[in-house]
Amino acid sequence: MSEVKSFRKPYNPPVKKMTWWLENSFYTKYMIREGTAVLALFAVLEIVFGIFMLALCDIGPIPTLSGIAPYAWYLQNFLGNPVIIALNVVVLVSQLYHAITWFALMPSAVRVFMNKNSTELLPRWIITAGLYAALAGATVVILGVAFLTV
Amino acid sequence: MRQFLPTRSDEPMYWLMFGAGGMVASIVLPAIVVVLIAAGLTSDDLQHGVLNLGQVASIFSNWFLSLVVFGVVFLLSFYALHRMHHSSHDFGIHSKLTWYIAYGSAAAVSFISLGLQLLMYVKFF
Repeated sequence: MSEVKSFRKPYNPPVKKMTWWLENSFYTKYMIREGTAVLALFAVLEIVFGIFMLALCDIGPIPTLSGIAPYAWYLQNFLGNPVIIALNVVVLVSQLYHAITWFALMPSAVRVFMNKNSTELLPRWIITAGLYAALAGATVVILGVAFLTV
Repeated sequence: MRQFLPTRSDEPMYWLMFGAGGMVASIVLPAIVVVLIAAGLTSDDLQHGVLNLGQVASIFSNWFLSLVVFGVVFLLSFYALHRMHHSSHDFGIHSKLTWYIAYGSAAAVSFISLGLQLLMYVKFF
């Protein structure tokens, strides 16, 4: 946090009800989108937990069953747990919802000009379509590498 | 007295990490979560299932892929906790404590991931 002297005097309206965002579908959709960040954090913690369990393992020249026990536990009892699989499906759906809203807002956040000599902007659909193409490309690459090298 | 204090806001730095993390969350995270689900469904077969030991060892023995995994963890943790920090305003929390909690946890998760990856690199490969 910077120590710049701020002359800002924000008005913070009192929040009377914690469920204010349920009263209007626009607010509900907004809060669901904010909530996707919590599930993204869950996915990150899953990855870091996997790295931790792998670091606990003991891989010699020939891995033994007892040496790789922590990682085997992570795969079978954590990732293989039906509750975690169901949670991961929820995470997947939430991230796709986040992706749709993120791609829809991106043309408003990033202004790309057609050329140097005009103020004409690149059509919105080109930026959105490019991002969907990036999502498709990244998905094909990651799933291809993951499933073809097992 | 001269003040040795920054004269500009540092908010753009966090916003940059938030923007990059949002891109990661929408472009690569869906595929990563599909891989995690597939790993859970095929975990009975430790030899040939998704994310088996040989596969993850080849990810983390490669410094470039390991750095990519770290980048995903780092950007996503800052993205998620930045968003949670700002959402706390919507619930009437305007304390500066959430700033320390959010960015502190994000930095901790990133450093733990980097440290464990370095440890693995030294220990296994």
